[in-house]
Amino acid sequence: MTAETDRKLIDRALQGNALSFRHLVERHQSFVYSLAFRLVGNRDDAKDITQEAFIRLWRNLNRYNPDNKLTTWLYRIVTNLSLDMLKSARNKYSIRNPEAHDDVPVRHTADQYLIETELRTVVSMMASLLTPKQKAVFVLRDLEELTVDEVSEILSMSPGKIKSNLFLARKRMSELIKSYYEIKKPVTDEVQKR
Amino acid sequence: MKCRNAERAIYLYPELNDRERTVLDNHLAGCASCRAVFDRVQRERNLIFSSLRVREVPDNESDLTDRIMNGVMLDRRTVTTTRHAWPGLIPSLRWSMAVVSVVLVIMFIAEQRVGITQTAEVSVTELDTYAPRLNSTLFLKSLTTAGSEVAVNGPSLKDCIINCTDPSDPACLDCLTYMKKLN
Repeated sequence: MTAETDRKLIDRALQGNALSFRHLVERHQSFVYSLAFRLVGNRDDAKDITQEAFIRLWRNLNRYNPDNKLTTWLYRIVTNLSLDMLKSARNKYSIRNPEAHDDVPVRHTADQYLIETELRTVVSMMASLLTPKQKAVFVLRDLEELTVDEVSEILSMSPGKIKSNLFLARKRMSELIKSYYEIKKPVTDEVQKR
Repeated sequence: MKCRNAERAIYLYPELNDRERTVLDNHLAGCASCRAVFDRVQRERNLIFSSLRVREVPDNESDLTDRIMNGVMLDRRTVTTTRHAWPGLIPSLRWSMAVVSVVLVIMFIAEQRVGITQTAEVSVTELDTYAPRLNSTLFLKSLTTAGSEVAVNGPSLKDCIINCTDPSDPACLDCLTYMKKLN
């Protein structure tokens, strides 16, 4: 059976068919959740944002423009919700203590697993030190691999501002990684030797 | 290109257009320190991407779907109530309030009529008979204002007036004082 397009599911949902909306949720919730997690770095917050994003989608379904991809709209909703959360609780949330990722798809050795897990946690923590805007730009451009124009549209910022924030974010990450390795390198080398 | 301008271009290398990239490449070919920075930034970029490329997935997708749909249904009911029930409720509320107002007006009129009837029970003639010292108009006014069963130190006003034959009687004086207060 061919999967129904988002447009058809939205049309049906607009006629009051909740099951069609459920299919939309099932189709996009993983993407929404993972994006939210990348932005806020916390599972509970990511779940809250995912739920709120779909509630907003439901409320504004009649304003959906079929010329645009639904994912673009979801990117905008999730990013805005995450930015609000990061701005309103910058010191409270995972900024200082982001949760580590559980999934490690490529495992060569136990040592490598340790290094990968640690790196993931460390890099996540470094990303959480960026300002909310820098983090949004960094996540959308470098992790989600969207184009500058797409990021510009999602964040309602000019491409020039996107690039400025991107430069600051990458430079900051670079400085943090550099200082981390200056402290950590002997330990990492030792793990690799064993 | 100068080294201080090269830094920004190095970090924004993926965003450079062909012309900008050629300018930077030419600079890097002749500047070892910028080349070193460029190589380091590229390594870090790969490190970041490889560290964070894994997408976090919800621990229980089915639970998350249920949670989202519960939220949506709850919101739908709230929106329905807000958008549709209130406009329907407001006319009903208006009619209810109109009925209540009419009932209150009827009760007020009825009360007035009862008051007049009760006042009429003690006629001016009776008043003159029972309490010739009291001004009959004043008495009528007191009854209308305070009702027919106003107590003055125990006995009702009517009893007070009926029994008030001697103005020097303390009970009668109380009655007179009360009447003055009402005036």
